[in-house]
Amino acid sequence: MNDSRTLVEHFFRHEYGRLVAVLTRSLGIRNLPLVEDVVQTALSKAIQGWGQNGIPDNPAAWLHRTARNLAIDALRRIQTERRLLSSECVEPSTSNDVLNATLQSYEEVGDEPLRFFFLCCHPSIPTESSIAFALKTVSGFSIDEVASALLISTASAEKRISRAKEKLRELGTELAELDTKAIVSRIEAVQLALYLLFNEGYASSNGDSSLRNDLCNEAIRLARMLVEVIPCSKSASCALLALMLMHSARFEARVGRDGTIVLLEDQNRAQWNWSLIREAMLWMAKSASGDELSRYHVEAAIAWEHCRAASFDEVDWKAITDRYRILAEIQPSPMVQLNLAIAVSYASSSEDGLNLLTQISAKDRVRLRPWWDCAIAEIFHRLGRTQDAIAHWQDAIALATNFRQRELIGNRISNAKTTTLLE
Amino acid sequence: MAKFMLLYRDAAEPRTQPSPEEMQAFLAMWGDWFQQFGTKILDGGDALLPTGRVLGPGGEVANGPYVEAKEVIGGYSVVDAEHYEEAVEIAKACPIAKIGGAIEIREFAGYN
Repeated sequence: MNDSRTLVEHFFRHEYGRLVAVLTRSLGIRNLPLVEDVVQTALSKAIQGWGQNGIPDNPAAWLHRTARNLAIDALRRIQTERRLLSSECVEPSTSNDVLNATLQSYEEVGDEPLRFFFLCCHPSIPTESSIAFALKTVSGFSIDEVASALLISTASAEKRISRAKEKLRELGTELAELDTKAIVSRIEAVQLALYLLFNEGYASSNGDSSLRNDLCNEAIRLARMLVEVIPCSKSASCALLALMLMHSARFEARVGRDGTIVLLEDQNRAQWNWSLIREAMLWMAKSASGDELSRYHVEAAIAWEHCRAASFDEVDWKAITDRYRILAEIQPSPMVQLNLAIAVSYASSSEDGLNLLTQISAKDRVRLRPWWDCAIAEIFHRLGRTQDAIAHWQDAIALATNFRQRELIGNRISNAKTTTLLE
Repeated sequence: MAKFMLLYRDAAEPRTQPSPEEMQAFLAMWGDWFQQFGTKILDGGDALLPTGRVLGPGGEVANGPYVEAKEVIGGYSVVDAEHYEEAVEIAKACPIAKIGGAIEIREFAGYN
């Protein structure tokens, strides 16, 4: 009979990823389609049985055993077919005894999902494909969920995933062969993929918000595995994890009750998740070992400045400016230039910030839209040049990519107009 | 009190495969159902595999459930209810109904 036992959040997703990784390790990357099939079937069997009869004592072990047996059955079937079709010898590696020996028992499962992620981040696979493929295989998203989480069409999600799959098959690298050298050489690619995965979920206010939070949580889950499992990745990975935790601490505070965007300066800091921030501090401390200074160290330090200020007025903009200058050296990008200009506008003067903003090249401004337009509008507004501010906000509205952004900018314009009237 | 059998009729053509997250949500719906109706559910029942044999009146044996049928029986549960109306209410809250499956509700004759 049914009982009150429940599963942890995302249990099926995480077990899907774990099972795919474990079985692929034993059966080889060429059997990935078969592996994905049997794992899906094992999950289906689980919901059929568990729904009406209750969840077993060790649901993960149950799934593992079921998937393993399904895999053995499927491979036997294939072998029999082959034997019937030709008199050729069956590949020795898939003979039953060997198969039984290579398929790990549940207790032996370790860091396979993370290893699988390393496999996905092969240098010859484009990062966007690696990310979509990892979401499908390591994180247990369906193709539709990958598409809505990454804000792309189902067709392009499918394309990205199959590109990664083909490439992996072509390369023929096996999970079990991934040695320390390969792991060390891919750490930076893995960190970048996790950083981008997190940003996908964090940066946009478009689409299904719970799915987008899931992206961030997946990035955090894998980053946690990364710092725990692969010691040589320590310093920058710890900084990356700290950075993600500090940003996700602000998740709830940045969305108003009616779904509107709440700017950093208007956020209720008591609403930030302080236990995440405290955890981030621990990882920050760990990231300080060694003499490596990665972009993640600097970005985490910037996020920390925001976290530690009691209010927006108490933010140490001088410190933030210094850090953006370092970031501009080690990881130059138009977005860093823009953020530096904003920091300077608070740390020194609005005019200095304006100067830096106008120094950004026309080509880069295009790439920064609508953020550049918003930033310059805010500075004009603070300088009392309301008409200029409104003109730029109007440009920004025209360039905004979603309803929430337009709503936010629209509110800035009407506020500015009201303030001018009152003055 | 009377006993009713809920026969779950799934579409013979499987729906698109649910994602792991959707599966977990479906499982949680079963948990909610048991919680809501508690002792009314006498037997959670079981699912039936999609394979089968049909023994014809002349003794002939065919493979599979009735292949002509648009729906096949995919499982059952047994519930306790005063009358059909109550049994229907219980069935309506069942996950099978919520994901668009059909449910046949039959009262036990009580001979046993």
